[in-house]
Amino acid sequence: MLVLKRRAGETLMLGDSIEIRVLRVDGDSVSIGIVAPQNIAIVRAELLQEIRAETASAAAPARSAIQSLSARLNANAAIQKPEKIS
Amino acid sequence: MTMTDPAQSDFTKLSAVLPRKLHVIGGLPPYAEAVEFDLFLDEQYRPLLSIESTSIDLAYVVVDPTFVFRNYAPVVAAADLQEVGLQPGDERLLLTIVNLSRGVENATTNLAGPLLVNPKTGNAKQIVPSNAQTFSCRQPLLSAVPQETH
Repeated sequence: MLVLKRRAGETLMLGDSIEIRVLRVDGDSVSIGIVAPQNIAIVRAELLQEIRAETASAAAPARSAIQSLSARLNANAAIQKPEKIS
Repeated sequence: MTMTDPAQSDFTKLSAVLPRKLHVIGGLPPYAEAVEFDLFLDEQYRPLLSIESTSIDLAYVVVDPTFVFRNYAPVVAAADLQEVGLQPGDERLLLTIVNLSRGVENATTNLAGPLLVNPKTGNAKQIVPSNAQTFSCRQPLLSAVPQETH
């Protein structure tokens, strides 16, 4: 891992098009500004980890649970969205 | 006088446009190796759908989140649209993964990591919307309060 020291207000570049600026340092919290092309996804790593963990734990549900949840969702929908009469 | 069930009507519409095979670009990490999925719609499990990998033993339940969360509006990056072959304004589908591992009562869906689907080609990708921080990875399904009434 490349380690660089930067102060508030200083920037670094990733390639030609991604600029990362240290905006503010407050104790153990750092505010970072990022300028990047629209096709570069910028995501907090912990959110990505959370999404992956959630995806992993959702695999292979039991058929009986699917049927039960389906029934509950339809019952909820019937209560929450009264049928239209035309 | 006829009576219509909006939920059934939504599912019927979805069923008409959903491809039966998905090519999930990048897979569904941590199972990135599984990219080809069969999609199953079974009226008896409405509004739930299932996707099953054609290469490994892997299956998920997914749902059109707007069935429960009428105002769900993730902001999809142009790059993600492009990756599945869509242009801004094209018809797109979003499905979210349902997690039943904590039991039916505690069933949740992952609104922060939806599957973006190109309905014409079946190309799909799990995306992180630009406004993902406003959604939960574990949004309860059964305690959902309707955001729009009919």
